[in-house]
Amino acid sequence: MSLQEKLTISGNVAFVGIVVVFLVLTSLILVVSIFGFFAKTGSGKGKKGKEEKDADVDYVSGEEAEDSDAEDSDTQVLEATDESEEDEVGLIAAIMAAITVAMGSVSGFHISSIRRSKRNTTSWNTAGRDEYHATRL
Amino acid sequence: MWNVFVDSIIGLAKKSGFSNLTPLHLVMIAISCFFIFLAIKYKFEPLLLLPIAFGMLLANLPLGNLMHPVIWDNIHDLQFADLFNSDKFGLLDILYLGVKLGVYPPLIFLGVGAMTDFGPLIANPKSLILGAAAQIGIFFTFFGAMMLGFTQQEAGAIAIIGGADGPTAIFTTTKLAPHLLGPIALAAYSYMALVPVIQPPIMKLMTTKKERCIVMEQLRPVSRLEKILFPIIVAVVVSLVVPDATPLVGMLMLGNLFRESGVVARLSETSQNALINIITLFLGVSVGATASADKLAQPGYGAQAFKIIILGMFAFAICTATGVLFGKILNVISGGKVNPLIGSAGVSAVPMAARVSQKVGQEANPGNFLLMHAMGPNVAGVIGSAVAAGVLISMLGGK
Repeated sequence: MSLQEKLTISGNVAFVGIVVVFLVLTSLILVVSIFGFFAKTGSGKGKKGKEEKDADVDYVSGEEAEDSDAEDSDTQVLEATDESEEDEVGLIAAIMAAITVAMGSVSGFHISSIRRSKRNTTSWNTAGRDEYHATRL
Repeated sequence: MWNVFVDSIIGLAKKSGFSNLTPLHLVMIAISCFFIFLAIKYKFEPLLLLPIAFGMLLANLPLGNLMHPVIWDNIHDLQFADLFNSDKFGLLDILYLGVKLGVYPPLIFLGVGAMTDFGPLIANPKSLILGAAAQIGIFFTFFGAMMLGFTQQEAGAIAIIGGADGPTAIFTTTKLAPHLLGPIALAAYSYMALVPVIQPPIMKLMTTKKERCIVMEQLRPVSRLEKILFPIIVAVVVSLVVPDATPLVGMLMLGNLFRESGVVARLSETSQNALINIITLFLGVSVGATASADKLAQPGYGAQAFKIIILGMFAFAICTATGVLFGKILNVISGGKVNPLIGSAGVSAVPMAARVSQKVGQEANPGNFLLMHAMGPNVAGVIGSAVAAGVLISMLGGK
């Protein structure tokens, strides 16, 4: 087989192959995107999103943290955004206590944010989060 | 009496493996022991490399009669009746039927599908483009293999190594160039095991520190309905466009439907555990057994195997590079919202390639968490490499 023949065959296979692979996967992008759009619309995303947002409990640090007593800077517990403030404060105290017991000291740690995990998380997300925690601790 | 005894001993010795042992057998035994060492000591894809290496060892023990790869190479019209009636038909020959007939790789894909969560891909469909981009290297390698003197079919089988998907590489090779199955399977699985070594330098070379530090937005939750419809849609679309990819993609999606439907827990459980383990065992041992000293003795086979190893590395590197390149392009298009490192995960090798993206990203920015984002291109790469295999089989005349 001459060099020219080899180049012709290679070019043909490469061109057709790349075009077909991209064509198929781009078609899938379109189909999955369209379906995802309808799925989101059908499930009433807006309402659900609002509920999830309400369920999130944020304990914001930042500027508010700086305003609070410097001596208590390790355990700053700031504004709760819903009615069960006392319960949430208790939750933070429990988490802080657990950290203290595990690490032996409170120095260097402060709780800046607590956010409820989504209950419909996938197993991949759960595995990833566990691994992340493992590497961080 | 003494003479009879001595003659018996000599006769026994002549029938032993020692008298039939050649230097090539010793070389192959040493190579198989080296792979066993890699699998056990360094855990290089041990689930496959260990049975492959031991299959290779068994096939190179003279007179064991477990496997006859040279006979398989010369069978063009499968005449099983003649084979079964001959005395040269061993245990591994029987197991090899599953490879020869293209049964094992799709069954492995069934298990892979049952283990795979396509959620990250459905949540971010654009990552499919990265799964396609990482297949470009396959076609570059095809060109390289042709230039090195391989036939079209051989070049196609070698090029698919770049897809970093063992079952796909085996499936394609059995269709296009079954005589090269041993070295191609070994190269494919070795390079998959070396993903954490091969990919990071390429990824770092092609990206800036700023790009590697990009934190991506959290993926949206995916509904159960989407997850159930996804395998059906993919099976239909891919099979209609590339029918030759149907055995792989069809079984992949069937396994995934088992998982996501939630109504066949037993089938899903069996597919992702018992079945895939049994098939992996049969596949590994019989594929390893194709790398025998008899084949190495064939003129030019050693040189071919060496070229395959080099081309496999080339394919892998190019696929990684094109994946990252398209990651960069997506990053520009999205206004800096895509970390290009997830592009390298498009080479399949699930989930190792995604973990490499995560690791390299976290080295640049310890607070970065790319694993889930990289899983999208990673599973897209499985679909992409199966499609590329279908294209090669279709164009290069595989049966």
